[in-house]
Amino acid sequence: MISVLLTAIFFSFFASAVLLNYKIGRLLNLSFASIFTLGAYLYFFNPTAAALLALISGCAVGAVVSTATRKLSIAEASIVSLGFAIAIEEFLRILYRTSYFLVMESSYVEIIGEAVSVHEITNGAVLALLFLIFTAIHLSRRELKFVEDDWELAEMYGVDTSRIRLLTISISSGFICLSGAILAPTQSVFPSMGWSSTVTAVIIASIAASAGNAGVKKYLLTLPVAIAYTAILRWLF
Amino acid sequence: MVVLKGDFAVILAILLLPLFIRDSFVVSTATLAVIYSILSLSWFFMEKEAGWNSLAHSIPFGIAAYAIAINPALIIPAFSLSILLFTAISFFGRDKFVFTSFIIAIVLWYLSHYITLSLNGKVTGGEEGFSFQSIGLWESYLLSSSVLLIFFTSFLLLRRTGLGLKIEAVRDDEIAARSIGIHAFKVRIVSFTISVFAATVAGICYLLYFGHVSPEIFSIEVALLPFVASLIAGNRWISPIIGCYIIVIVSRAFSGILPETHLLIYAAVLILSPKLRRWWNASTH
Amino acid sequence: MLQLIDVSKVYSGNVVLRGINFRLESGFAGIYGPNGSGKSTMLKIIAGIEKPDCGRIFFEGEDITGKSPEKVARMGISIVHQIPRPFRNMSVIENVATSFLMRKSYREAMELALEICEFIGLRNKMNLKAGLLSQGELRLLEIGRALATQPKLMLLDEPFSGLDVENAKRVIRILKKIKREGVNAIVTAHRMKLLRDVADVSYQMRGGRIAEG
Repeated sequence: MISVLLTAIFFSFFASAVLLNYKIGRLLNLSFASIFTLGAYLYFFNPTAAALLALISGCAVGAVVSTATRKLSIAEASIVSLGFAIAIEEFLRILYRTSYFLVMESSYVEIIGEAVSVHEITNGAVLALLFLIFTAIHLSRRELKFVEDDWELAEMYGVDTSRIRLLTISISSGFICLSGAILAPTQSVFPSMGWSSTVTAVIIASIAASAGNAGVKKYLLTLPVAIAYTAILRWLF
Repeated sequence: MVVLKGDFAVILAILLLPLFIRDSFVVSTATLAVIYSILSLSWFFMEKEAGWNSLAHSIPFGIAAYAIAINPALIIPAFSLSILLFTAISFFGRDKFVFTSFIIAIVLWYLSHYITLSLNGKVTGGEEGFSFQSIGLWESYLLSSSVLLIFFTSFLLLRRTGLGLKIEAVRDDEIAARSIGIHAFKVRIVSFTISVFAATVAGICYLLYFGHVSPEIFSIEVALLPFVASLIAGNRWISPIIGCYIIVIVSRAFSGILPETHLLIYAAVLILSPKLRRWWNASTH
Repeated sequence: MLQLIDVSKVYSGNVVLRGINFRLESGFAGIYGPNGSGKSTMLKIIAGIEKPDCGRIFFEGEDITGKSPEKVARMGISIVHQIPRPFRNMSVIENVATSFLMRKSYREAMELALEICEFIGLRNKMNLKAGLLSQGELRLLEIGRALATQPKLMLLDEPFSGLDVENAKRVIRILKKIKREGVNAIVTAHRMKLLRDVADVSYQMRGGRIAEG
């Protein structure tokens, strides 16, 4: 159960990042697949500095994606983000050609008779905290709600939508990359490992988006949807 | 008309060239390029004529190959399933069609690793896939080339028929089309059927050539190939074919130095796709 | 020929049509009224593009309430939209020929489309892509495309809107030609003055209600 909950927290965060990028960034950010993988490879490269490296690298990639997709439609921007995903994946594949699947060690603790990875607990705690901070920011800053509801109108009323978009995409990419670095020891690391998480996040985000256009409800809904999804998958497989 | 004759001549020249060179490496490269060209043409028809941009033509392509490999009698249900899938996704609307189809293509890619068959206590399939009798290199090339020519000609002729006009009308404005008596949904199904049929035939050619099919047939690479191939070479019916040849030749040429170089082309084309699209549209007009 | 009985339509709590009772036996009927009076909604409901919330619509004795637009078109009702909806990537002649495909083969449709292009005065632009036409020409194309369905009843939703005097006169000339051919029509406009030259009888629409003008 603990493991299911921790996995659900991860998927909930990932889905919220997807939703945020869609509503404010105005793109389906498929580069998350490879940004997550990049974080995992950074842990393999340097476990000590991985967290900081991942945060900086993720933010940098996010900023590049944001700039490249600035004046594009949702469909065009999403396809460009897919291009970045493939570019990063290929870069990693070329760099780490010596071995395809990388496995790193993790340590486990027993909680209520269940062996849980320390990295999963760390990841869950970090993401849960980030989620709370994000919820607080979203509730206190009306510009986010305004931009989510009507981008064009927000621009006309003087909201700096470009800055909000840049910050949203960069910061969410940074945290996705950080998540990849923290979780690296819990899975086998290979260039296309991020796609399964991304697809899961997109599906959860699509279901949660039915909660409404603006406001924090849809982000909160990602958690119960993620719990249900993870529990069903665990039961099936 | 002159342009179309020119395109036809170029395709004939490209297809006849390996017959004169007679080198196995050249013919095998050409066969793969031709098979992918058929797949890309099927995608191009759905995008250009019917107005549905999909990133999931790997689905009918792969399902057909798997169906024949497991049991040839499964080809009709496989074909029907592909049409049903595209029809179901189309209810999300044209804007969401492209990414919904892409997500489903990836999901199928993951699920295909679990397709296994138990025969006489022996389990086949899974990550290793299924084997089938290959028809040989030259036979594959001749078959695929003939199929490509037939589909290329058919798609061009279709545009000058009543059905072609209806498909284009529904693409441009569904409400206006319905207002003049066109059954837009029926036309949509017919468009999907034509496109899926071509992709299915491409999948069968793929299996007959390689004699093997694995989950990699559903990979992102195959799903994106038609889109990338079309963007490389322009807005004409010959463009997906030229694009496929470029991708396959580059991939084969650099495979010794840098495996899967073509994926770097994919990345570059996708990142530049908005500019490429505008450039090709401008040059057409 | 056409009868509307107690037709009403509500959009998000806003009543757009209030119990409309309307009858057209033959000829050209004009409906005028301000913006938001329900003129376009009424035509869209007849054409099957929108569904009424209550009431019935009869065309030549048959109940067409809630029928799909393509079924209504095949029964002989065609609509000319307020904002032209051409098939932008097709040529003018192909736009018109598409309407003939209900009853004719491709070749026949293209031949007949040529005649329609002549009728509406777009023969010299018949091979031009519809997306490159001017506003007035698009309106003429819409009329030509609707005519090509060989309708018994044409619905023209503000055919003069957005046109300059010259183009408006062109449209009036075409409508008079159509009238002489024996086609029945309902034409809507903002002001009665615009309908004077074409309508046999006029109705005023205001606040979702209709009355003889």
